[in-house]
Amino acid sequence: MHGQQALSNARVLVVGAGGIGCPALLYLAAAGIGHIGIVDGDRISATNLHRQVLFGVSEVGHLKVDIARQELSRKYPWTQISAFPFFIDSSNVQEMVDGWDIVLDATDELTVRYILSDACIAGKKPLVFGAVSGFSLQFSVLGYDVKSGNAYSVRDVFPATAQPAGNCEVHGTIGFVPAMTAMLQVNQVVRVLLHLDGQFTGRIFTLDLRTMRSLEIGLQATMPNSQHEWVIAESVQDEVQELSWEEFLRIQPTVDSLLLDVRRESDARTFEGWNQMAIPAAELSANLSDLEGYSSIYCFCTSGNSSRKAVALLNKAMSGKTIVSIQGGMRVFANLVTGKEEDERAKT
Amino acid sequence: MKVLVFGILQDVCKTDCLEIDERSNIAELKYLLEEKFPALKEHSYAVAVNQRWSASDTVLKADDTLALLPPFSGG
Repeated sequence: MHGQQALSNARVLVVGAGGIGCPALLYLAAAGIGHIGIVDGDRISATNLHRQVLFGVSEVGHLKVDIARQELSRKYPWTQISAFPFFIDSSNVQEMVDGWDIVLDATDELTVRYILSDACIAGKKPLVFGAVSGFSLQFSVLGYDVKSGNAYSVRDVFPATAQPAGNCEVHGTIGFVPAMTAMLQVNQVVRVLLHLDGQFTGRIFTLDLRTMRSLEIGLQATMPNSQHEWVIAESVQDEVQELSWEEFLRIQPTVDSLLLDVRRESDARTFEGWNQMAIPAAELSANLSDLEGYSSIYCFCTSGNSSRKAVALLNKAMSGKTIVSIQGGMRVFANLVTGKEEDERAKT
Repeated sequence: MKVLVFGILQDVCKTDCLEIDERSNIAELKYLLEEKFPALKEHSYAVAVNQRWSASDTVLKADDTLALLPPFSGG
């Protein structure tokens, strides 16, 4: 009973309402956490549904945080839910983190993981890290460790120059991989909140669900990155020219400029006046001849990772062309469009 | 020498476990792997030796177990 009371007094911030966030939220609320915050600026898309189990077909297009709050409040009315419909960035991260007891990292962007980790260390909060790659998962308790006073950073695990291996939307994942990650994280949230043994601090756990092989690697506190060296992908070492969507949309298309969709699955969206083509990043090398007639090529993908890799590849394979990656991919574009529609609605 | 492969790198190496001839250090191992799997050059990864992060000059022994780990970012 004492433990349950402690959980009902606890405030847990979940960053990201995706494949990890959805199951984590369900089980945190079911465990009786008193107040849960959910931060995510994204909207539900049909390709999310197999792993983002709080959402259904009829909710496609809605803000994830709104539907998550509705669903959790209906099932677990004793849990207070605060929804924050925006993405975490360096301007809002510290303020978001400071109001909570513990943070559960359920994002799918390495850059957000870094700033979240920095803010948790600065604000002296534990950060329960979890992430997936293919059929493998990783988790650890990073951030500030109240017991020892040590701090562990995502930067200790991955250096800022590491190229993320793509997110779930790009590479695809089966729903139970992030769901298992979420359960391991929820277990840690409860252990930290109740000061129980078995807190996974100072080491990182990796499990491969294909072979059930696991690996535990020790971390050193307070960031001496010298303890290991990363092999950094060549595509990161290359200079890649980038533009924001705002900058791209101001460009006048010409007959020899091309907008190239390098996502695995294109949604055939049309951009007025532009020559458009869809070739998945993995198939570019085999289709270079299709691109020969263009002098400027603007690449986009889901979140901006694959298009960077595509530009690095094209720069090596072709010369005399301007090849550019559009930052943030369709994720940023979708929010740009939605934001404009909302502004116009507000005006009328 | 056994090299365990994790995450998305399993798709690059087409396996979750490689058996390779003995190499004297990680830099040499990396050279051999990238010759065998050129697409590895497109990926960032860390190498762990016997469950410890290791630098490229780490000396390897025949019975070491190595692991290749990409940055995990999906969620």
